[in-house]
Amino acid sequence: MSQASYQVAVLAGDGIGPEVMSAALSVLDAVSDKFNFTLSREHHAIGGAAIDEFGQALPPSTLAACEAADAILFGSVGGPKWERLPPDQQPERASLLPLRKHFGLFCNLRPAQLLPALSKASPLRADISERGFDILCVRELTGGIYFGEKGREGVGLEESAYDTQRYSRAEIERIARFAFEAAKLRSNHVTSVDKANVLASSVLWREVVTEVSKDYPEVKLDYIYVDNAAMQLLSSRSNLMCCYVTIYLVTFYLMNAP
Amino acid sequence: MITGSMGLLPSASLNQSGFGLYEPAGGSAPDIAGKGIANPIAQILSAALMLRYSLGQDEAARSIEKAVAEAVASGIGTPDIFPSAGYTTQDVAQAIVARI
Repeated sequence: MSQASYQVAVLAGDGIGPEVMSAALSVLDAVSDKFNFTLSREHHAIGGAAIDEFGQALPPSTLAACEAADAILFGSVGGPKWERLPPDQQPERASLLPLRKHFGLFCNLRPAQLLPALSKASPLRADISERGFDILCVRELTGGIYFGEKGREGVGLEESAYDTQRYSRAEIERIARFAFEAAKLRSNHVTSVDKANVLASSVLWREVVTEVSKDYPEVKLDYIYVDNAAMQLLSSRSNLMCCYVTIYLVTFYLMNAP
Repeated sequence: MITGSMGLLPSASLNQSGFGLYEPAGGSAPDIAGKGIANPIAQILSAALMLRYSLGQDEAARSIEKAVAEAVASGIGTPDIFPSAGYTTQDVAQAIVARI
């Protein structure tokens, strides 16, 4: 059998990016030796470093390399040197957001694990933190209120501003399916976080998640309102914290990624 | 932050075909760049997510996560998690590699 082989686009970026990337690559070398696969890596400029070298945060050559790769390993971008550029040319906005858009990266995974050895480093009270936790937050990244119609109109006391939250059945279904698949690799438990007692979009969210769950009878599904979820995460009496592994399927505003 | 440090949190952004971008949740931290004290664990765990979700190498991903947990359990970590231990970014990387 031929050895599995993968191509990774390495975009180390700015600040601590190159240092921590170098550390990650040494770990990838160790596992590829141990588990007998080949990981070929190509380094490309991104963010402020790319602005300095090519005049733009996401040069076409970097984008082409990402298209040819199986995955992108990204460091970090930005720094004081580029803060005075117009906002749409700044490292974060002009590299990460176009990459998300170009590749349709709709599913954001945020694992959060509290290792027992770090219970003292956590701001949680000791009786809560010492139990540890291991959560995988699955967040819809390309739909919803961040991308809905927004605007500002009127004058004086009549002036108003608005944002629109809209999710299609297709958008909810694909993120839900991802959460259930991810749960099968972990604990077979999904908690859907929404605000279905108030928001119409959350009612549809809950309906579609429930429908998708029928294809995954082995995965336990429960629901929680987003405000309660934030409280339960910090509560000493919480069942959520006691669930050693769970998946949070988040409709919106539990977390805000850059 | 409730996990102890921003320097521990990986993230993944995926599309329908399993292609993904993997990155630490923290920023570029220009204030500590070049000092050798940046926590490499978020980037290392991001690489583990890449192995699991885009490359189908779950066993290798688990091996990295286990090595990270073991290194931290041995008290090895950068100053953001172990302020008086004196370990550098490279020390932490080597300790994790040694536990693979």
